[in-house]
Amino acid sequence: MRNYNHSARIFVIFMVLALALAGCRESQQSDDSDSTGATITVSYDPNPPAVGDAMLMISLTDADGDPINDATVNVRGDMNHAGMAPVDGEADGGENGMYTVPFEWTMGGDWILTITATLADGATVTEEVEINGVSSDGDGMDMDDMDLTEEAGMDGMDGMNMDEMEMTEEAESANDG
Amino acid sequence: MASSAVGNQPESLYRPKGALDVLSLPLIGRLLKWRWGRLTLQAPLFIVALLLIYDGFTGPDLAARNLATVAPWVHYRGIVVVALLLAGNLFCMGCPFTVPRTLGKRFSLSNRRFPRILRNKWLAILSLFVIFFLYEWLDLWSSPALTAWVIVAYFVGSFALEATFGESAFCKYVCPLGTFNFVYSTASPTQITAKNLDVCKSCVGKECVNGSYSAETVIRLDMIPTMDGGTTEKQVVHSPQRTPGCGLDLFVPQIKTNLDCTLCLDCVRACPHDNVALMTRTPGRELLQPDAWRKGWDISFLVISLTFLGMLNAFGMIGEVQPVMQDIARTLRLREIGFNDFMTEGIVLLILFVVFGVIVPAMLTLGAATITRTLTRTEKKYSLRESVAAFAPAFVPLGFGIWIAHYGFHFLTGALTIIPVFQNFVLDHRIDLLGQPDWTLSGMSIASVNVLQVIVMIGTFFWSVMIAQRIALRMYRRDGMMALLPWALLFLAIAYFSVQIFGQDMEMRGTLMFQ
Repeated sequence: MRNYNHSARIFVIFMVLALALAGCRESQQSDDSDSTGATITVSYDPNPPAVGDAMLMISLTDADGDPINDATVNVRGDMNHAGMAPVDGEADGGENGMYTVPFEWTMGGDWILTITATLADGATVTEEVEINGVSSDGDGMDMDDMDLTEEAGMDGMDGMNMDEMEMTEEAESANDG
Repeated sequence: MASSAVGNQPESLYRPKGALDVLSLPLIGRLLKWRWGRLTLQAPLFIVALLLIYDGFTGPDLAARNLATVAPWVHYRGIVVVALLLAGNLFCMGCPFTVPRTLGKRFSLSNRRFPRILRNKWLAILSLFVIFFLYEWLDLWSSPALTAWVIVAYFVGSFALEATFGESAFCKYVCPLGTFNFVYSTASPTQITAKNLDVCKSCVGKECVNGSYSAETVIRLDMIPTMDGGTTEKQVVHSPQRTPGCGLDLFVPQIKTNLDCTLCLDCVRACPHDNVALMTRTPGRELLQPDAWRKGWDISFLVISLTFLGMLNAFGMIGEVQPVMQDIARTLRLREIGFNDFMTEGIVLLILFVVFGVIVPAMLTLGAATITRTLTRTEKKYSLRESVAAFAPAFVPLGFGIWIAHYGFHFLTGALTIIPVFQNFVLDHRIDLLGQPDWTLSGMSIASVNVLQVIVMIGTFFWSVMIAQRIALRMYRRDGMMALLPWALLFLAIAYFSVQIFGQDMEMRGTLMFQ
């Protein structure tokens, strides 16, 4: 019986310690309320995605659906499995709420894009988007032939395949101000 | 008459000729033989396991940023195969899942034996099959929480079986990790062995298997033969401070194989005559010894199916698996029947596992054995079981090569990813000791690892053929080359398809879309 009590005590101490530590985690303390009401949507070219160079077209709109142009957009792409270095991308200043981010799908498979938009007032909006089924065939897009105008971006939006894009989390924001 | 100093570190009475006893090395030998030697290896791994569970349940959902997915699926697997190749079954030696085992043993109300019908490798084969199937179906590699649950399940399974049965049933009959390690430790360059068999013959207590633990101190005097033909008196002490014997019921002088040896070294600590050694040997030497393995279907099928499961596991990483799975689902009209994508994927994967993990290996090896018996006209001399069992050891190098190529790929291409993940873990707890994570850290380029994979596959293919040739010549003498032919062709096919798989671009997918 003494062994049972001793072991149970260790187990309880461990659990309390683990819960306390988990509560201290910064990632557990983020404010999930979306004070900006901003919305992020993403499309990509080529579509369907394939290994190689690509363009991400990220649309940023406020709660009324009006475009936000004065934000900085950062993209981080992770494979859905461990062991691969992530791919980063960034764009400043949008046109008509559209930000074009040069990107590279370095490997075929499923990807998770973490898109963070920092608004002019310092507030941030983050969206995680799953891009499933990046094909290992093909060399991606030809960057020389690519039209990086606003129209190209909007064409990309038209070609967006919502089936392959899954919003995993509600947009979250944290007001640094 | 020499006498040993009981109470002090016992002098080594007998020194074998030839191979090196790892336990005689300074520092390492002393550490391994120390009463708490195993615990010094287990304790850090136990803490790591707790850390993985903690981060798996409370950390980031992304596999690439969580210790629970990076450490086991990238690092553990790579380090294990390297350790097996260069040293031995080091993971079982430091296994953290057996730490609560001692507790389980203490709680044990019965000392019953594992059911006789299950005292073989069939349950271990099933557990391997299940863990590989779940790995693919549930995408364990992409889920920190599920990986944490797997670790918890190992702890619970080990504890429950230890508390229920007298022997280490979990390690010997169930644990898929241990079973993998057992199989490929047969290619390792070390083995537990007796230094002097005459000492074992005259040993009264057989402490290596029975242990030297007793509730009360008991002192016994044994007469032990010495190398010069004489005898010496040895005082043997059993006490509460001494160690248990082999949990897997291995009797050291009868050990001919690393199969079932967890390298816990309890036999070394329990032996009162310092007569147990961890000897170096030619890697895979036991694969050439005809009587090293029990000639059962279970052992043969374990080794053979693990080779094919290795191919299947690697095949699951590449893009070509998706059209194959979609074709099967379409042919069976699984979507029309009403299964969703998740269930459809599960059914299709199960079919692939049964076909390529069970049926194909069984048919190919039974076919090869039948052809060998026909070509050499030895149908009456050797049964089908004996023929398959004789050539089963030759599958070890090739199977090991497939796993090294696969696990080595993840390890070498992602070896440094653990650094930013750990930095991020520390930062997430508001401790700014290790600085900001550098997420660009990864590992070797895929192209250079691909070259290594081909080298490994070619090397292990020739190793397997060499073993099969030795077996064929030993058993079939003048007809040896005829006997070898079907096995060599089978190994060539396995090696060829494996190289083809590793040559494809990796394309790991989560739940597939079926139309």
